[in-house]
Amino acid sequence: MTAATAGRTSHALNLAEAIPLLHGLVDEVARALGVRVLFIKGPILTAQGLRSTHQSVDVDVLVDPERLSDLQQGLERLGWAVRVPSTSAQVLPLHSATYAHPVWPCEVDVHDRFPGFLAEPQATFEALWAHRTSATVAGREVPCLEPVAHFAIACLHVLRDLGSPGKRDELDRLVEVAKAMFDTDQRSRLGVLTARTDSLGTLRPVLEALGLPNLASTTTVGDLTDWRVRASSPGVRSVGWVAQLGRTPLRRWPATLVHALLLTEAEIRDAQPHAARGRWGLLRARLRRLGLGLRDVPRACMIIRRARRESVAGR
Amino acid sequence: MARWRHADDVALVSDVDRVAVLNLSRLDEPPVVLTGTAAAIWDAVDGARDDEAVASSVADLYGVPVDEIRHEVLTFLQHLASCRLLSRT
Repeated sequence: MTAATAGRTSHALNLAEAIPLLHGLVDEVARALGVRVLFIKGPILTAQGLRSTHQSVDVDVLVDPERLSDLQQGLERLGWAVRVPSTSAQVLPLHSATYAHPVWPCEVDVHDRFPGFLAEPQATFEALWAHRTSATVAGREVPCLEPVAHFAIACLHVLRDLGSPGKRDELDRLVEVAKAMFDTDQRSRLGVLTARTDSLGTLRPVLEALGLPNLASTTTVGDLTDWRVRASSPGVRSVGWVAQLGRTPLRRWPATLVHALLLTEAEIRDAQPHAARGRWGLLRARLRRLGLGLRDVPRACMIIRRARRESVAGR
Repeated sequence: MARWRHADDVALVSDVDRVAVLNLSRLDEPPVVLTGTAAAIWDAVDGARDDEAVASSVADLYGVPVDEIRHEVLTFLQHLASCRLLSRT
């Protein structure tokens, strides 16, 4: 290669290039291992007309829960690593691990479940797998969900943070698109999928908006309490820990509280990237987090009490 | 004369004057981004052109005599082939 051409060759990807290429990489790893995966959200959601043009910042892939570790190990062999292992308390079970690589400008979220589908992760994956199709990304055919099932994922993604700014409008747009896109048969298939994945309760507002009142009035099998807590607590920092304490036997409260107060250095610094280096910087970051967390405790308790009351009342 | 073609097992994103390629048979290697003349050479490879036709196509694009760029184009084609991003049929 001559100097003139060499100067026009690099490894500096931009996001618009990295996101599609990373779909290709993850797909190839999964194929080589014989692991079933479904790419969700991202450019495929846009290509299916369910979202306006949008630059994704990461790749989301839902993997057969039984083969999760195989895919993770396949990525790790190529130098991908979990960026910051999560040890923080969650209201809902941890649904994904975020992998990063030094030469890639984007990350990949490896999901073994998706919040809002209350059925067991394996049963949910099988139900979604029945709705698989493929899409062309970076010149490759990659497995993904057909629009009806992808719509359910997109709605759950929004509903989970419905209290955050802009989310209500985003949900309204999704529903309008679905009304125009889905015929009676497709709406019926959406109903069957939500029943199989136990998401009738979590998707209720969407089902009602699409005119599926019989489905929307059916009760969900799983407990909606945690979902209600999560959906009504955007930005409430300590809600995960308050929920965690509620599930923890009293004798284990001291250890839980100590971890809640300290967390890992990696998580602290990830949440506060501008914290000063060294022990004092870390201490100040921990104290700052503690102050903000304690301030939110009363609100977190109120949200959890309300969610429990609603669950008891069967709403 | 052998014709140049893109490798089958690549993922590819192209934009104006820029091509990003990932070799799916060498996933431990980073993707390659080609810009400017490098992207033009990539684009000139269509499965039907041989050395001379690729060089002529790039020369026409830039409005320069093919003799001026032939060596550079052929060297770069060989480089891409050594990376298994191109093959000859």
